[in-house]
Amino acid sequence: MNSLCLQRLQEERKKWRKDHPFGFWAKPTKKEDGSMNLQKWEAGIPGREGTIWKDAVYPITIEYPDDYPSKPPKVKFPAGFYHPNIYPSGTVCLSILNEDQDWKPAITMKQILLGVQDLLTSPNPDSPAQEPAWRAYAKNVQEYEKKVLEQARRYTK
Amino acid sequence: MTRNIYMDDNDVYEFQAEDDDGDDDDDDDEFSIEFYNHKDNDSVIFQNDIFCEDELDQQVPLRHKGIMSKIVDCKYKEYGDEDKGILEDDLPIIEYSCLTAGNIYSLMLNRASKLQPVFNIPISDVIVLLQKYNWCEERMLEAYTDDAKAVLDSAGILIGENSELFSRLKTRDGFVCPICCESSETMKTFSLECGHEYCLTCYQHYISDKLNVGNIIKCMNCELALKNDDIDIIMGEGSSTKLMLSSIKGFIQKHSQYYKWCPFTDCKYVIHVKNTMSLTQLNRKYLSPYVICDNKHQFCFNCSLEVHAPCDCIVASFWVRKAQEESENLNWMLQNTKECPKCNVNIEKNGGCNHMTCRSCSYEFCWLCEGDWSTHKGSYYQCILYDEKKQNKKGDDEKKIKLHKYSYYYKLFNVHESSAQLDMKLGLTVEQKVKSLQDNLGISWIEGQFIPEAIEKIVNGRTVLKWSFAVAYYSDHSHNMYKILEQNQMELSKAVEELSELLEIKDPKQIMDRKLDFYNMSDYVEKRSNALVECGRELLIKGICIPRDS
Repeated sequence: MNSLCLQRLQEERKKWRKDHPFGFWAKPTKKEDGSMNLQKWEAGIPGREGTIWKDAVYPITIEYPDDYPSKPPKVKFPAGFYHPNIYPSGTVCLSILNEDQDWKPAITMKQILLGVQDLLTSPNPDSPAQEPAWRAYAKNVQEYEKKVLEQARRYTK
Repeated sequence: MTRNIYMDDNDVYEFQAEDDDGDDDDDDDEFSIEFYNHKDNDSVIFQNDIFCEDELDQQVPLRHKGIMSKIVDCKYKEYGDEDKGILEDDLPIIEYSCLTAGNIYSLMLNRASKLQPVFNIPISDVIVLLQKYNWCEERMLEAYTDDAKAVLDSAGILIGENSELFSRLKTRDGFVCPICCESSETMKTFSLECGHEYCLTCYQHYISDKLNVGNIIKCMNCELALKNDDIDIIMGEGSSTKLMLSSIKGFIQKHSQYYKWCPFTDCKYVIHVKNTMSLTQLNRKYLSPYVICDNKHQFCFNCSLEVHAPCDCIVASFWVRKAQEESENLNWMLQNTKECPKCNVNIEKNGGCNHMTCRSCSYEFCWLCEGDWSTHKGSYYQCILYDEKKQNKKGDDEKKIKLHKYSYYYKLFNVHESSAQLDMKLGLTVEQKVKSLQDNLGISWIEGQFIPEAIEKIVNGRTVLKWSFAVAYYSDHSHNMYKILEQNQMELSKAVEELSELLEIKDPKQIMDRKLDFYNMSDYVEKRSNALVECGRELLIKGICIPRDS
């Protein structure tokens, strides 16, 4: 593993432990031998209060590539997650996570998680990543809200 | 429509059709740079009909070597339609120049320094702006006059009074770089006016990744652009040129109707065609725009193939595709990729939705119907324009016969291709041959030049012969013209073989004795080549040769 990547991730961890937004959690996964795998994290994103996403914490995984921070990490929800900008595989389609778009090496984990939380409540209808949620969001708001609320129940705090 | 005839210093006529028909080169001036300096006061305007005089024919300069347009008295006339005449009245001349990406960049720099007073911002900022607008001044000026502040903001340009005084490079003690989290007593850091400061190593990592892409490089945290000077400070003198050349490459790719890379391996030249009207005109006459780069590589500007007369680009592309069809790679590509409808780059879809954005030319299209994506707004998942492709299965026997016919012509094509390659190899040793004539018989260099000339003719002849089999393959064999084509092929191939025999002679004395034969034979090969080209073209014009997939 690249030392630059590791050093930065250790710092990211330190920063996160010192200060992170309310309701969020994040921790590195464990390797088979029990040691910490800083390149793969698990985290929870709370739905924003006052929206249909509230009262639930949505689980994600963050995978950092070897050439992080030159390249962005990959953020995934569980496969089949219901949201217009999330691929059927669970991969998040977000400009700040796209190397060719807005990714910048200075973006921190905190910024990523807040960005994803923001994406939950305000989807981008111009860059659809899955059909059911996109269609409902664009054409049938009632069905969309129903599905989101159903999903929120599955991930209640 | 009027045509201007310019006369430049070399007494060369160049024709330029005025674009008043709203043709496809509407956007011609969008980014054009003046590579030709005509003396405008010398220009004379003729009406179209005066133009078709015979005397002009003879003076038309043949930028592309005569294979197709210089038709001298030849046997073919006996068969042909006398009235129609084989000589073309007004063959359009392709106006082009051979450049390198570096040339284009210096021209752009020139433009930038001319534009600088308009914008009243430092020249390095003008370059960033040009880069953002893909080196298209018109679009840039338009956007700038619309909303200068928005343009500058989006390009990441800060107009500040103290921007010149700002010290970008620092040596700091105890600074922890937020990217790599390292610190040392003598850490070199860099920051733009925004104050986002990072260590030099991180900046170098960040930039080296992006130099090959060609987009504007921005601060690692915000939208402020790094200028060429900044890049040179961080990466070392001259690094910004690399970024600029990458950007120019992008520009060339996006304007492939005017600019083409020479397709020959490792050739760095770019051909810029100025009057794209001539391309369509040639096309209508079943001719192809052949251009030659400064490395003497000759290719077709339309399809980037070698000289493929008598085929036009369509027949040639059908043939080439057919020739490659057997290969595994192509099969895989056909199954798994589609060509970008705009720039023909092969694209593999390995995930995601049907909204495709071509990496090469940034064209957005729908994977299903290959139509423009902008027509799909509102129905992202159901392409209404998509029609099930009809599957036509053919009997096995029919297939076999077709394959047999194809392999017959393909073998002939291949034989001439490899022979041409051997002749070209021979051409490489020809200098030695001439030298041996000089040494042994005291012949002057200029007198020995008939040998390289013969080589050139024979290679041309073989190329024509080779491609004529593609025409033959797609032609209606029952038609009388096809018989004439075959006759022409036979004549040329006889001539080529005879010349080839002459070139085999090793004894210097014998070569000189047969010098006249060399001249006669080379001349004859050239005439036969021209005749075959014209004959093949006739088949195309008359619709006897129709390329189709089978």
